[in-house]
Amino acid sequence: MRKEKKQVKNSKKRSRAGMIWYRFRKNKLALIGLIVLIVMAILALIAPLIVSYEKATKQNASLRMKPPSAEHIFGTDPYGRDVFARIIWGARTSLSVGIETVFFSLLMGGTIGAVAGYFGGKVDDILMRFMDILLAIPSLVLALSIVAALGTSLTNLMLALAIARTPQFARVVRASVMPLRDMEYVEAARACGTSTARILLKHIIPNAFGPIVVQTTIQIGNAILNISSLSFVGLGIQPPAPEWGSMLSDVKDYMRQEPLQVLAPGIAIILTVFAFNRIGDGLRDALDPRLKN
Amino acid sequence: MDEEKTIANPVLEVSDLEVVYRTDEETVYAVNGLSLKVNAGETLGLVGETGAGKTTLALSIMKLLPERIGFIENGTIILDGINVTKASPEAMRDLRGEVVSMIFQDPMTSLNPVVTIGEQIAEILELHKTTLSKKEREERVDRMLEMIGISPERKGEYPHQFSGGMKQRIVIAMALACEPLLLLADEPTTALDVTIQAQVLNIMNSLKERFKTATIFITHDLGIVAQTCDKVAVMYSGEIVEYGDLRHIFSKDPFHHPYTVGLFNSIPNIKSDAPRLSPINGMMPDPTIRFKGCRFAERCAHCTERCENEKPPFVDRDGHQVRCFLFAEDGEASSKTEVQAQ
Amino acid sequence: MSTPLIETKHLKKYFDTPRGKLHAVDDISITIERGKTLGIVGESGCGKTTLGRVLLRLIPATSGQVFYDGEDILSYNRHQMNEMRKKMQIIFQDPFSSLNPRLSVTNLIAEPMKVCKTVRTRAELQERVKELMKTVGLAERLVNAYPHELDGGRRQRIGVARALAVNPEFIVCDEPVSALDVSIQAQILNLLMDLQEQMNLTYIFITHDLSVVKHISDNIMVMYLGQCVEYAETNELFKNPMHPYTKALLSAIPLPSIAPEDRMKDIIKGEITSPINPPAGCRFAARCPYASAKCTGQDIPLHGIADNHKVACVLYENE
Repeated sequence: MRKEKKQVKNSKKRSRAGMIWYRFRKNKLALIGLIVLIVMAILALIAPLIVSYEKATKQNASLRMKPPSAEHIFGTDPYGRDVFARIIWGARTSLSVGIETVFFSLLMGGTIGAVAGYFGGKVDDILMRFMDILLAIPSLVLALSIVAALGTSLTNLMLALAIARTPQFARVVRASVMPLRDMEYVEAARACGTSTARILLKHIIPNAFGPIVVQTTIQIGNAILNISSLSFVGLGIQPPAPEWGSMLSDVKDYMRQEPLQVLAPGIAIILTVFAFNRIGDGLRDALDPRLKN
Repeated sequence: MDEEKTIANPVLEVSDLEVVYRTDEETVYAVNGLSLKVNAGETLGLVGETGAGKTTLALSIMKLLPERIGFIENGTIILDGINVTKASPEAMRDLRGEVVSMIFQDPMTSLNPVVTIGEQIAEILELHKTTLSKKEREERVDRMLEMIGISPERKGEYPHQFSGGMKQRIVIAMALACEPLLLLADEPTTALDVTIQAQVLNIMNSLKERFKTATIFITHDLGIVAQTCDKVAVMYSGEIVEYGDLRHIFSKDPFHHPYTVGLFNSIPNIKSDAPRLSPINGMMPDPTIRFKGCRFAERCAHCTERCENEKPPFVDRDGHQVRCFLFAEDGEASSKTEVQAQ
Repeated sequence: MSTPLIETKHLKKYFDTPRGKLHAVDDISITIERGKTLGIVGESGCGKTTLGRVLLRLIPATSGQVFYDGEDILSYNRHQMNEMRKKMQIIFQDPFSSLNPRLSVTNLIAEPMKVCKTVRTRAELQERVKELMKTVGLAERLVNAYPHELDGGRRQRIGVARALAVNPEFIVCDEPVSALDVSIQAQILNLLMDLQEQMNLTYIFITHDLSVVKHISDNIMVMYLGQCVEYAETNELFKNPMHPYTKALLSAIPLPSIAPEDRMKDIIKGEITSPINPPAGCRFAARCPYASAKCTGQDIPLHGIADNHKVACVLYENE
């Protein structure tokens, strides 16, 4: 009875998208996350307009470790490069690599999960056991060994990270597809002779969207963190390309003298990851009103 | 005054109750000015369809409305002399189980799956009947199980080892373990098969007689009402539209609310040979809108302008109350009563 | 007599479970004439829903045959079956889970036609959707509404419209009114009966509620644990129920009447036994007040009592 009431409540007045936005907006932290991310994305997009790439990469011994000034807002690093420029160009790298890897793993994991969840039985067993094996290896270690085997390059790094998080997506998609498989509307579709592909694309995937979107958002944050970690140990983005993790690595020896040098990339990482996690959380609540009430 | 008390001693007295559910999106007016009385040992059938406010009423009595959403806006609920609307959470905890218990529709979710059924019944006794010794408690548990037709030897088993009908019987045993004054049964048999439903109803009837528990039986099924209740209140959209003894409600005379008549005509009856059912046209009004007049007006065949603008009063004939202008003393519509009789 | 529209012969569906074979549908033979309604009545776990699904080939049968207009559809290949699906449709019990929440009313009703390619142009599709909405009594302003905005009765009307979209001849109605309020229940029942008259539809009406099928069925089959225990013409079944289980079902219905003769009585004891590897013999014997040694050990076949009345019970074997 109350279920029905709720159904009625969510109706009228606002469209579905409007409703989701309305609920999302109420989560202040998620909203802050979204704003942070938008600012970060705009900065990354217009980076060339703000500061030249050269400033972020060209080494200049005479400018080593300068404190913040009007010319260098965040000062310069041990190689004389402008930290602000590197942060902004680093955002470009982090965001694009993070988003691209996650979409790649979403594609792989999503397909595997949807197929496993929909068909069940042996198909499910085989695919998911394979995913379990991947899952048993810590993702960073897995990525490390893939990069170590294939050589350090941006493509290899992305591939490694994408493979490492494929099982997470496979599991989430499978778990959201499985209950839908037995829904009566899927059976209704079968009763009309609908093809499997159409059932999956039209009746199942759109309804499994919520958890997938949430997972994707949070995983982008994770991917950025992983890239930075790998770069920090020298296996990620290769110098001189600016990247937050390698920036941290560059200045780690000067932490005592110049804490700001460490703080800038550190805060950039924290803010971005925080933003993605908050947005993911906010989306989860907004897409699934049951959790909130 | 005193005399009246001894004759009819109300266990529960609800007056002018108004309950709303308020969310960010909207306000649902679930119960709109409802008054009723339940006397000791009496079974009141609360009949109505989805959204009539039956469950909301029961939750208000238990003070278990969803927090931060459900609010009692107005009115009082006097339970065994205590005003529930003003009672503290501690006082309510003492009342629940001891003075009032509730049975829910789904027996599967009312039992804790990892605790044996014997322990679950004993736990309630432990909370409320603190004077009982452990041995006395165990004896009481055995007796309760026997009464619901489950062998006391099975008290060490877990809920999943019982069928749906048995689980609902166990829930009933739990609800009655402390011999409460009032039992709220919210569609307790709706999830069960007919033959099992008959068994459960049978047990409820015999337990009620034995413990003299006053009961509010919430149901949408007029058949169950006929078989179990003494008094009936027909609810529609948060209001009581008709109230009376069982014989009043099931009488063939034309003094009935049009909704009650519609309800009777729309239920399939194995005893009737009518080839078609006569449904009530339209559907329940939007609960987020406040009404000036009769809530049933838009579906009613006898609707007049007055019905839309003015709340009809209860017309009382011999304890049988109908809330409709058709029967009002000053009513213009009294000539229509015959039409309604069919 | 003409060929019946639907006929099954010794239809069986067993499910494999860790504890053995679950006999969901066990040797069911039925015939339904065109334009008629067969009511299938039984409690949860009796296999009535499975039977409906097997008939439509939504789940594969274990053995037996299903004839549609004389043709064995269980032998059809995928392509033939897809053609066949236009003729047979299903209406589901739960109006909340049987509609894809992401599709609007228009798209919900249009979907079967798109899949079956029964209409050619977009305009034709729109036209047909409007026509169907009118047929089932849905206001035109609801075309762009989503299921969650509608109440149970309207949702079930969408379900009916979807089933009608491809012009079927045969519809399995799986408890189509059980989830609805009584006043709405009557609306949908009447709608189904009107449609049957207008379009000469053939129904299988699955329900747990004997009082509901009384109004809509021509014949009724009572199922217990996968088997048919009694089959009769509707009025005959209500006038002269024979199988102890049918009698138990009838007496268990709480009647909306306070007459002393309508009080509940003769309440049957016990609960449904396990459908997994049931022993030979009458499956109701464990609960039956008339059970004797004859009831166990060997299966009890259906016996013709009268022209259109069959019962599987030893009590009537010598008549």
